[in-house]
Amino acid sequence: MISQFNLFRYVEGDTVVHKADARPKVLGLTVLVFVFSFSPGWWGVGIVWLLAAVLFGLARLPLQVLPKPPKLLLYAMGIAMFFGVVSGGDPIVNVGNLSVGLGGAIVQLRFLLVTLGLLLLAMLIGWTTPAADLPRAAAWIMAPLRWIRVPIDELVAALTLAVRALPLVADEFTTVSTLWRTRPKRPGLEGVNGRLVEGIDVFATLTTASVRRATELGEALEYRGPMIVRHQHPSWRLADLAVFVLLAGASVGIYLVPV
Amino acid sequence: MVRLQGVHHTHSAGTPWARPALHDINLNFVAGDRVLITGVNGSGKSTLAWILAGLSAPSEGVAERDGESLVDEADDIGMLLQHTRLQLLRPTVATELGAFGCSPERIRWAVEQIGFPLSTLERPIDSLSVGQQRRVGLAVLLARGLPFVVLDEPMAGLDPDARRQLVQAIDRLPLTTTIVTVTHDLVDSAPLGTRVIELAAGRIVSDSDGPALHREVA
Repeated sequence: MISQFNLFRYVEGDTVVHKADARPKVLGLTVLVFVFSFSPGWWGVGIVWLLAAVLFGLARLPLQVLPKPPKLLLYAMGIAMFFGVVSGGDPIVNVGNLSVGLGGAIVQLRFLLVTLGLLLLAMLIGWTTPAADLPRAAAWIMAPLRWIRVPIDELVAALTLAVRALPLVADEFTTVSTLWRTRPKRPGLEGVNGRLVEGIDVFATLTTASVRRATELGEALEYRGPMIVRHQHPSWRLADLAVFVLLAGASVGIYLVPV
Repeated sequence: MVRLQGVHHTHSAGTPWARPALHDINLNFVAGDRVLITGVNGSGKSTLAWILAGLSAPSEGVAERDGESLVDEADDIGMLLQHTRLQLLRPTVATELGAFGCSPERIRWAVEQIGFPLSTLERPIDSLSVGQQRRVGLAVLLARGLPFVVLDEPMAGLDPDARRQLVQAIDRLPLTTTIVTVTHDLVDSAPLGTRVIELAAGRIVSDSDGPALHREVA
């Protein structure tokens, strides 16, 4: 299920977005998220989705890269929208004798679009940037934090190993959910109750699998010992500037127009 | 009878990450067959194991057991994963074995067959070693008495003692059970098969009987 999100799966390409280094992409997105969190209005939502569409087109990505959301997520979004509707609020729409306040639903919809828009941008970076380049970009962005003695090298090492472990964890999630789906239902535990109990068991197994991976990560870090990460960062090229200007321009646009 | 006909499989089909894994696989297994599927890493062994176990449907072709799709029959097909922990979804050995509706007598019998004392039933799954977890997985297959089981790299990561115990436990599966073992280690897995199918780049390159295998291994 988790692998359906196609996270960190690089799509081969020779476009300006592919050619751009990971640094402008990660920095630009970080700035955008920061600015957007202070101005999460409809204008910002529009800019984020427009930006995603432009980058998607520039990167010439096929539509098949888009993830198919699992049913569980769709149900969760449906439930959230339902509570948004019943919470009411302005504007109020009259349908015959019934008055429906759409305020809550509109807020919920905006929240959903903000989340999905930012997620799409993050996935776009993953599809156009080799995963191995992302920790290097993170090291570059976090470099100033060395001044306040933040352990950047350790953080980058952990990030590198985590990125490498993600496909393994995703595979394990897929395996467990597939096995669960094909297992015979436990006798005496049918219906919603049974599914709930089974769900708890599966969750426990997935947690165990993840904890094991985390332990392996920790051990790998320990065995490697203290490591100093010093990357050579080449100067920015035209593609880097172009992508950064796009992302930074969107951030400025969001900031300049009030909510 | 389990039948694969014209099976092709592509991972992430229809996406930029599409990766062909199997090409034109035609196989038949009858009751009691003991089959080893071998090949180097990336040859398609595990993909074939998943299709045989009904855990995934082939992109093209027929995969069926007695005329029913293997995916629909997955309830009645046993699978022992290399990472067995992922298939043991209950907290203790007893609750795992009890999850399939087997009688307490049958569960005790299965535990004895894999060479564990009955006190093992109360042990948490996470307190067992990898080899012990694999034997518990096998006990589940024994207790359920399934007609068709697929073992994915059962010997991987086990010491010689654990391998011997596992082979003994597998030997206790009924003679009518079809056992397909996926392995890259023919030497240790030789006792588990009388027919050897070799895969390379997703295609069957040989399908021979056991004696030929033993000569090759020797």
